[in-house]
Amino acid sequence: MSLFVVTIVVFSLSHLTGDPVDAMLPDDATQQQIEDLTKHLGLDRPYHVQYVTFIGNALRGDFGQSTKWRGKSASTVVLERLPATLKLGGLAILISVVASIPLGVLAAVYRNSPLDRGASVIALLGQSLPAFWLAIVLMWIFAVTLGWFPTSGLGGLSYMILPAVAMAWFQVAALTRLTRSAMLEVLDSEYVKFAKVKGLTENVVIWKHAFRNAAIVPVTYFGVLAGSLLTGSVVIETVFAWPGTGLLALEAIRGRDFPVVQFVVLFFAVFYLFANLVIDVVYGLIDPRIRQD
Amino acid sequence: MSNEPLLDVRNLTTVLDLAAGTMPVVDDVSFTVGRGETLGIVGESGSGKSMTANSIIQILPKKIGRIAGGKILFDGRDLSQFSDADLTKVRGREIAMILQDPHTSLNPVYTIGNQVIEALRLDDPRQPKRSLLGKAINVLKKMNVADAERRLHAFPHQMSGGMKQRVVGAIAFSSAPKLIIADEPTTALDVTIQLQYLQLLEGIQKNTGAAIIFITHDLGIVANLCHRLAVMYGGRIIESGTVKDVFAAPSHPYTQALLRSVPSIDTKVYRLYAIEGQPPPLTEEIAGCKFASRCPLATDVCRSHRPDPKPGRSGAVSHEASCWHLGETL
Repeated sequence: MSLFVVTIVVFSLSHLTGDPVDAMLPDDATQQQIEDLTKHLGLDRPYHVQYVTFIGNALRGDFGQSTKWRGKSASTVVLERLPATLKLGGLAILISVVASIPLGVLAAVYRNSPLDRGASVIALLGQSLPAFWLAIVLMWIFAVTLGWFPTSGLGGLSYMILPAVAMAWFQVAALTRLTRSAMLEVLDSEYVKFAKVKGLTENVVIWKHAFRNAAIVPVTYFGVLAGSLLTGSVVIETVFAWPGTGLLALEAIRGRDFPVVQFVVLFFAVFYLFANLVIDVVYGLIDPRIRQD
Repeated sequence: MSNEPLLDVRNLTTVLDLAAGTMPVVDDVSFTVGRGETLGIVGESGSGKSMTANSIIQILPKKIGRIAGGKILFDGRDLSQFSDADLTKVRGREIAMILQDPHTSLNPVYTIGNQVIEALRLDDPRQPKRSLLGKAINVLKKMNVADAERRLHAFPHQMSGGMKQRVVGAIAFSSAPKLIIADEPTTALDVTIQLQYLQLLEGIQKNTGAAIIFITHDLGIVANLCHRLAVMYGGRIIESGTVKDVFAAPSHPYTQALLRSVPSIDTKVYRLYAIEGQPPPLTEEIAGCKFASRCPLATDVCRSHRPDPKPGRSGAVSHEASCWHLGETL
């Protein structure tokens, strides 16, 4: 159902942005050439016919030929670029989780300590700085001035660090705050008190008894996180000229490449739905009460 | 050594550092618990009885609560001087605790077996899994947990409150502690289950020789279960003695009022006695007796000077009450 809505939105939006024929033909093309191409691409048919054709083909795995990258299907164009995005997104997710979970837990355990205040400064910065601005500043400091990392382009780990950090920062901020507040609530509970009374060490009390109960909250956010890393890649990949699906989406929109735009957005939507499905399964693994419902 | 009490709390003062000021929630409290003895600590909400218990094993609210003075001598060692790491070795093993609400004291995401075995493993971390399982079934059976083998795989939400509190009791008794602190363990249970649970605790106490501190506001439980009792009001112990002496000759006006406000099946009354007013806020600094503002016998000296413990009306050595008007009856 949600996918159906997405296809309509994608279809309408991509048609609202203009006519691909304008982008494909030179400025001095004749009226005849324009009409021929429009007919060839099927753009002269009514919108609902175009939509039904689109859905019918999509169900058979055919998303059409790219109009910008001639001779390739839309899905091939996108899937070729996918590994780059997944690598970058994966690293960004890794950075967010590795940084924010311990930070959030410790901020809750040592509430009101300098560490807690430091964590809230990081969170505040992360949530108030726009990603593209942060990306440019990081690039300026670490790539241009210090020369530690390359400024842009596709490459190994050193190429990925700056864009991944820029992407992860906002997520670190959000995840840290969520983890902290969830932990604060759980640390106040009787079963944490009882675990302590049993004679368990503080580490076991915090990580075994408190964290597993608090984890539901950051896990919920993980679905949003996975989705926003893909969508966020549009901005970050553009700034760092990282040839992933985000940059591709932008190029495709500029080139009025409807099939590619549609496939990218549909792919993002499916990915997002899938991530949330995985999260529902993870809920059950964390909490037996959810498993039985 | 064996003549010494198991627990000897001397002039314990615990404070909470709040934004509104420092609040003495336990105010110069002294009491002892002998080996195998059951002490009841009675008082209304906010009288400091739970805070006294939490001070002994130091599970006070982090950063806010702290012991400001006094000694907690347990088996000859002063727990108030212990580091948190040293206390971890005492908790669960030598002093165990049963909390008030069984529905919240077990972790909802782990099985009963996991939570029982976790406690058992503390005695010797290298025990094989099979012997731990056997021991776990054993401790559950001692607390009359029906169908113990299957319960090991159950989660807390699949069990009744009474059954959960038995599991909590099983965990508390699992490492043969010398002292059990039971903080209103039956308040959340049905009345019929309450009695069963108390009898179970009593039985296990007889077998193991553990001492119990029973925190409650139920005088009936105290009368049935405890050897001695301490009555707390406003963070202080205002009367203490054997259950027999205190019930027969309540000396402090508050204790008298408390006993009078319990319905009795022997005498017919139309209206139960009620103590006028509310306890004073803990933030308020009171120079004299904390009960003075509600006490019909109060005079100027009560409001200006704090009464020291004096022999109670029963005349027994162990019976003491802190009041300027011990001779008068409410």
